Amino acid sequence: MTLPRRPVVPLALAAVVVTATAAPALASLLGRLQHAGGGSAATEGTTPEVFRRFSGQVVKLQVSETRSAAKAEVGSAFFVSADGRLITNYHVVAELVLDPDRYRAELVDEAGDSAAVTVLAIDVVHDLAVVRTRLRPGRWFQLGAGGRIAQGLRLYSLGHPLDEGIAIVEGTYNGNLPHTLYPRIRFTGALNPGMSGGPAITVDGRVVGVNVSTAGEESSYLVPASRAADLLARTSAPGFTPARDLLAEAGRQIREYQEVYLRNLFTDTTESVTLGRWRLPTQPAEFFDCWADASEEDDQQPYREVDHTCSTNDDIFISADQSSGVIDFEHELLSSDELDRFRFHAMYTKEFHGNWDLDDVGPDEVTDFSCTTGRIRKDGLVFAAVFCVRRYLKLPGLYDAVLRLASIGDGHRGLLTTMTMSGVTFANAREMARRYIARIGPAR
Amino acid sequence: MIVVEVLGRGGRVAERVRLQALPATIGRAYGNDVVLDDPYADATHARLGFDAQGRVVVEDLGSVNGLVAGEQGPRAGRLVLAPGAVFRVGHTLLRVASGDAAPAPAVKDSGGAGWTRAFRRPWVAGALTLAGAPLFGLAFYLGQTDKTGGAPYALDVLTSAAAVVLWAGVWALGTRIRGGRASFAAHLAVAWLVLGFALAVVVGEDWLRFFTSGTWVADAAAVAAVVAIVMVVVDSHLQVASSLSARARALIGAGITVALLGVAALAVSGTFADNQDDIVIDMPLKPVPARFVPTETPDAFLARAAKLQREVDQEADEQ
Repeated sequence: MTLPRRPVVPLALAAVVVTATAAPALASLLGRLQHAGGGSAATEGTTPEVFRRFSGQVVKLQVSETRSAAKAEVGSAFFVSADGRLITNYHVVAELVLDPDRYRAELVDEAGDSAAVTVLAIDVVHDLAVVRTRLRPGRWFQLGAGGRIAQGLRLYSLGHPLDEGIAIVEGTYNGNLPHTLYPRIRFTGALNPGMSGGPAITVDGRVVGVNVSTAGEESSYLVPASRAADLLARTSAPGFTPARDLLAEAGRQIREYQEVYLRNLFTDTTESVTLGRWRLPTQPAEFFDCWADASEEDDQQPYREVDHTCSTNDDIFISADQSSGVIDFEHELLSSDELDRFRFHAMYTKEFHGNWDLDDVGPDEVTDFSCTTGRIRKDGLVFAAVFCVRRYLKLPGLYDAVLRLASIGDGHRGLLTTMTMSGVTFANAREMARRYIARIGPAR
Repeated sequence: MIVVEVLGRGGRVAERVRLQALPATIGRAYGNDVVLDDPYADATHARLGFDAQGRVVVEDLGSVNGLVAGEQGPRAGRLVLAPGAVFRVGHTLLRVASGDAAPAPAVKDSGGAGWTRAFRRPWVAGALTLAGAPLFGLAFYLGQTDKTGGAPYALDVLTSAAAVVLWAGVWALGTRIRGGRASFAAHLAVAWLVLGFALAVVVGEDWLRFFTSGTWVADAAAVAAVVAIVMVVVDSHLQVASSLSARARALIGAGITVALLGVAALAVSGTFADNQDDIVIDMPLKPVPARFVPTETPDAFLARAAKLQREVDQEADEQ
């Protein structure tokens, strides 16, 4: 029913964007800091040389359950200051933020020394976190060298894939992912789980981005280093104190992000698509991907189906089971020559009741769904309507919501349209539903 | 005058012996006043008489198996018998009644006199079977949305018909065991009629839900229909199977209804206990022209949805 979405798996990647045109002063500073290990002219610039010089600044970060000591998450992190601060992904330390009494985090460095880490600051929207340890690194990475990088520049990603020990992955810089609300760098190289939070660097050790996710094969993604630099700068500001309640901070960031994300969705300027006699919204913003698909009546299925689906990759990682900020919607035009109108409506009712395509979330994360049903009339069109919500238990003020409409009164034909929202405020959920319905009308 | 009642199976009176005077003897020998056909009774087993206070007593005459108060009581050498008291001699239950007691008024015969009387004619059951089975076939057909061909429908219809016959058979067996006629045809007719009624209720409720979803109307109608169906099932089968009064049948029906509703409530609360990932909605879609559908504006619908926030917030607070 739903079209396959490209699965994007959060990893642990850290990227420092270093431009080829970095300021000479910074370059010399980096040179002094990072060339300390030296290296022969013969091997300089090769992958073994990059690994030898910089792998010591990357650590394994693991989150374990305090009581059972069972590993909950293994990722990577890298030093960015002399006082023991590191950058990693928010999703690597998410358990610690969501359930600080149940989890603890520690890092394991090159020498095998381990030390506890605490979370200083998070940026849920960009999937970044700054953590601190008592260990003092001999060398650390610099973030946020400005300027442009040429597509095709060779990058080296470091991290701890699959908890098998540190590894280096070669790949190329391919610019930013198009149509996203927040920037993601395309890294053509094979990132694997466990590398999340590690850096992707240039040959001279400048961080371009932070390893964050992969779509499989060689399609991987980095958070631009400038975002990590912003977060790090926040923790360096005079008078900075870590947020006392990181969970509340995460909730605040998600709600703030939403206001930006939702502001212009389904407004008067939203494009339309026509299915049968219905005019429906499509492509509500640049950062949505929309597809169409159709299937014919056949031996298995006694009805035809035309689908139009839109979804966004701009979701925010909340926990292994949950993400926020995703709005998906799907229009399905169903019709049949074979089924009489009673049998068609038996099938149509099944479609109306099923195929919700929701995140599979446990009972300690969300409440049950509560729904209201009714019949609405809009511009002469009549729909059966259902609107359902469930609330997040740990992040206050956030809800998942679903709106589904099914046209009534068209004999052997029906239009189902479903909008699914995750991690939105209740007021936003209702407002999006209102705007969505407002964009539906008879085809001109 | 004293009457000794010999009780048979099910506690019904098998024989009444009128005694003009006491003492009188009870036993297997033909010389007794009350002759028992019971190998566990002695030839002369017990004697009935009056005690000093004028009460009826029964005394064991040294029998092998003795006297027992009630059906399962302790063995006794002598029992004082209150009016209506039961005692056991061998395997036979006996009751002593005063011949002066006024008899209860005659019970009005309702067996076969109610609306099920027509069902005692076998052709009615046959006709209802012929009408009922295709009706179920149609219901199955309209609910099928995939291309499965005719055989599954035929199988569904045969399975349901077999279930109906089995149901009627169980009632007929019960009726026969209890001593009357089996009345299988009447039970079968009742079963088909009630199933037809239930089918009409299910279809009607589905349509009602389409027009009234979001309100309690269809839920209330569904509960009322279940109550009505169970009451009618119990009443009509008991009419055929027994001569219980309408009041007794209604009481039994009410008891069974309450039990079923209790079980259903438990089942429902169990079903919806895990609903995080699943949305359960009860509104069906029906082929109705749009102009006949009662509607509200989108804003009114979303205004009603405001209550959902209170519902899930309350649930979150409880956890």
